[in-house]
This record gives sequence, C-alpha cells and structure tokens, in this order.
Amino acid sequence: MQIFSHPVPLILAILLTVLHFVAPALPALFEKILKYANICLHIVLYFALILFKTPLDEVVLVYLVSLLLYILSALLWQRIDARSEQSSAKEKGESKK
Amino acid sequence: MTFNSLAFVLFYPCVLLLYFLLPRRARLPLLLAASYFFYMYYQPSLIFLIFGTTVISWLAAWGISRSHSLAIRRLLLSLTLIVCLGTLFFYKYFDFLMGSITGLIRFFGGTASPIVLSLVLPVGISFYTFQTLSYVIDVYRGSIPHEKNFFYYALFVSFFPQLVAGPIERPENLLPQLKEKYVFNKADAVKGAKHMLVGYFKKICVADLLAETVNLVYNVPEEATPLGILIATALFAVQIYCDFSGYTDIAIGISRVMGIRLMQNFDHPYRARTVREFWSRWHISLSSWFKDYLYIPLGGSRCARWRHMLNLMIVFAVSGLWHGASFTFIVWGLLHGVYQVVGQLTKRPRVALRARLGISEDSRILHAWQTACTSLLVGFAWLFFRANSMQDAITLLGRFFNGAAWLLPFSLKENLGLSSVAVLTVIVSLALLWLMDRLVAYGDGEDGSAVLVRDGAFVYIVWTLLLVYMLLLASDKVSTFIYFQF
Repeated sequence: MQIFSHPVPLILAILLTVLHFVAPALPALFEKILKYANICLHIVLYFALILFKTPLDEVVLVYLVSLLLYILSALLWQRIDARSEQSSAKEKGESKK
Repeated sequence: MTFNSLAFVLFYPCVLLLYFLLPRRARLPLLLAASYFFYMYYQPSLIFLIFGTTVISWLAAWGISRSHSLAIRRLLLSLTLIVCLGTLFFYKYFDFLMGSITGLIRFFGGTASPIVLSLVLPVGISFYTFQTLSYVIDVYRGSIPHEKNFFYYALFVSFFPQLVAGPIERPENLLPQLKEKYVFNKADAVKGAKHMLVGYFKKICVADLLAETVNLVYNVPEEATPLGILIATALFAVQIYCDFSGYTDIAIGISRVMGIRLMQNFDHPYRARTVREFWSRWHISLSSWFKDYLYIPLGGSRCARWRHMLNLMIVFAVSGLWHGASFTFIVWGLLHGVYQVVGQLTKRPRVALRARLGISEDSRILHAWQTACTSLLVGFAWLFFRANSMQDAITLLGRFFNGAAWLLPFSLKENLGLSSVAVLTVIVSLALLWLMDRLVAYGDGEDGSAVLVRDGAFVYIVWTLLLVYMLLLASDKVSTFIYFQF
C-alpha cells in the first residue's frame, strides 16, 4: 500500500475528505467555490497518481473511498437539512399559535 | 462493441447528437443504421441472421394478421417458431446435443465420434429470438396489431441498447415509443445519465473487481479450499448481479436519454424472501416472458397439483437451457425448479408451524431468516451456473463437503489472490453498491438519488468515473458482460 504511506496523497485525501463534509455548511458562494475546488483537486490527485505510476488498484481504492465519503456526506447533510427544516416549520407553527 | 469500450464512448455521443439534431423523420433510419452498425461491430457477417429473422417474423405476422383461417394462422405461427427456434438451436445447442448423444453411446459401450460444427454463437441470439417470438405470438393472439412499417419492426428487434443482453422488450411497450415524437427533456437526460453511471459503477467497480477472485477459484477447482469456494461463490452472486443489472442500467439509461423507457429488469433480487419472489425480481423480462409464453400455455397453476409442479420444472429446465448449452445450466435451472416445488409443497406446514410458534408474518426476524435462506439457496445454485463444467462443479462440491479440507490453512492472498488493497476495495465497493441500490429507484417517482446529484457534484462524479473508466481502458482490462454469451 504505497499510496497510504506517502504524505502527499495522504494530505490531499484528508483535505478532500474535509471538503466533502465542510463545504455544505458554508454560505452558498463559498460552498460552490469549495465544491469546484474539490473537483479540481480530485482531478489533480488522479493525474498525480497516474503520473507517479501508482498501482491501478490503489487509485481505484482512493476513488471508491472518495465516492463513499461523498455519498455519506451528502446523506448526512440531507438529514441535517431535513431536521432544520422540520424544526423551523415547527417554530413557525408555534409562533402562529 | 460493448458499453464499456472506447468505441462505444465515441459511438453513443455521435448517435445522440444526430438523434436530437436531425429532423424527426430521420430518427428511424438513424437508429436503425446505428443499431445495425452496433451489431456489425461484433460480428459483421451475422447481421444477415438477425435481418433474416426480422424479415421472416414480420412476414409471418403480416400473414397472420391478414388471414381469417385458423389453420393458416397456426401454420404461419408454427413455421415462425420452427425457423426462429431452429436457428437458435442450430447455433447454440447443436454441438451440445451431438456431444451428449456421443457421450451416451460411449457410456453404453458403443463407439462414436461427435459431429462438431464449432459455430460462432451470434451475440444476443437468445434475446432477439425471444423478442421476435413474443411479437409473432402476440399478433397471433390478437393482443397487438401487426406493425405495418417494416423498418419500425426492424428497429424493435435490433434497438441497440437492449439488442445483445436485453431487457427482452415487449412490442406493446417498445414499438409505440419508437414512433413517438420526442423532444429533448432535461429530466429524462439526468435520470438516464444517473442510470448509466450506476450501471458503469456496478460493472467496472464491482463486477470486474470481483471477477478476478471468482475466476481464481472456479478456474482451478482442484486447488480450491472450502472457505475459498464459499467466499468465491458469495462474491460471484454479487458479481453476476452487478454485471447483468449493470448492463441493464446502462441500457435503460442510454434509452432514457433518447426518451425511450425500457422495462425494469431487476428489483433488488437479494432482498427476496422466497425463491419465487427472487424470480419476480431477477431478470424480470425473461421471467415474465417464460410466464406468458410457456408457463401459462402449459396450464400454469390452474391444473392438477402434480401438473403444476411439472410445469414449474419444465419452465425452469428450459430457463436453464436458455442460459447456455451445458449441463451446468440445466442443473442450475432444475435446482430452482426443485426449490419452487418444495416451496409449494411445504407452504402449508410452514405457515402452520409459524402460527403454532406465534411468529407474526411481519416479524423482522422472520423476514431476515427468509431472506438469508433464499440467498443461501440461490447462492448454492450459482455454483453450478459459474462452474466451467459439470465435472468442475462436482469437484468443487466434493472439496467443499470434505471435512478434512476445512482444517487446511487458508489465506486471502494465496487462496483468493486478494491483497490488503483488494480486500479494502471489495469492502468499500460493496458498501457503495448497497448505498446506491438504496438510493436509486427505477420508476418515475421520487427516489433518494437526489443525493447523488446534490448541487454541482454530479459533474464531479461524472468526471471521476470517466477518469477511472479511462484508466481501466488504458490497462487493457476491458471485459465483456457475462450475459453476452447467452
């Protein structure tokens, strides 16, 4: 597992993970910028991996982990959004009463 | 060309571009030409076979629709059945039958050398033959009118997304859609793209990944360990699901972008609680074909009990044979038949036992138990499906049930070729598959897949998938889909 012992891809991967989970919490403009930064970083990461002749199975694993994290973060934020919408709707209902 | 080849990556955007740019009246010739080109990319010479089948079945349906004489209608239907099934038999089963007869003669002490034609099996022959048969039978039954425009019918038979591995479309679903005046719809395009992505993910990231491990065990059965067989068979169950349903997802997605909705072919089959339910979720287009054109004409369940059981066995034996000219497929089909028969026979005692034990039908534990049992039975049958020959299947079973072999040392790396990266990849890809299967619904209703396209991230998924896809292409790992051989 060369890739997971090398600091550069490791730092990049941690950064990407943070971006996955943090971006939706930021204001719309920053969120958009971070999302595109995330995409660019991914492309840079994959090209860097190819350039340094990382074994294909390790590149695929990085991609899969990233995709899994992306979906999990999206699910997490979907749930958070739904809850906050629910609570705001409740508050509105109570204030009307 | 296969959906996971570079040729298709170039072919599909060209077809799509022309489809929406050209005038509507040009769409029929465009799709027909594209479909024939798609098929000729595999086997140029065998295009005459599909064209011949199309002409014969269309002419027969034309004759059936015009004739008022029952005798003539029956004669035309019989002739079509003989020609279509005869062609299928000739290409797919002739060598198998000759080999079996020779084997039988030798078994009884005789001497014989088999007549082997070694013909190249036309890709998708089982699929398009069944599709043409459903058309002619439906016209004969009067359930659909005869399609007067030959070219629309030719496109129905050869429509490229589903030509080589289904779904086996019904004329009443596909034919009217081919004639519709469709304008580009963003919602359809997004839905189609999602299906394609999920399909590519299933094929490239799961099925192809698992294939290496499965092949390692099944291609050398003499060296397989019991635990290796267990893991490889479980992985094969996932592999074949991802391979075939992945193909279907891509086909559905490709068509959906063009405004054509193909039928659903899979509905979470491994969630089935009975083998019967499994067949209503697995390869739905084939199961419903057999139900409508074989099971019900045989008498279905509205007959004596023994006849009902016999009908089930016949349908599943034929279903096994449809998959391939080998005894392994026949045994696989018969096993499913036996499961169904035993399931029918033990239904009452099982219900009575549950009532006696006070287990509710809605009990989650019961559901989990039933799902586990069904998966186990289906998994056992997959062993025969995947084995390269009957001899290999027997060898694998012999080694699996050999008590002493369980005590042999087992290593994921040595016995299954799984490195630590590969094990992690398999675990992550299975987790992703589980998530995607939960998120993406196949109908028109709302599903959880909105999560997959949250904001601009859809672009990210497309790009990264394409990138991985190209990486895999660069590594010469392009593989065909399992169901192409059928």
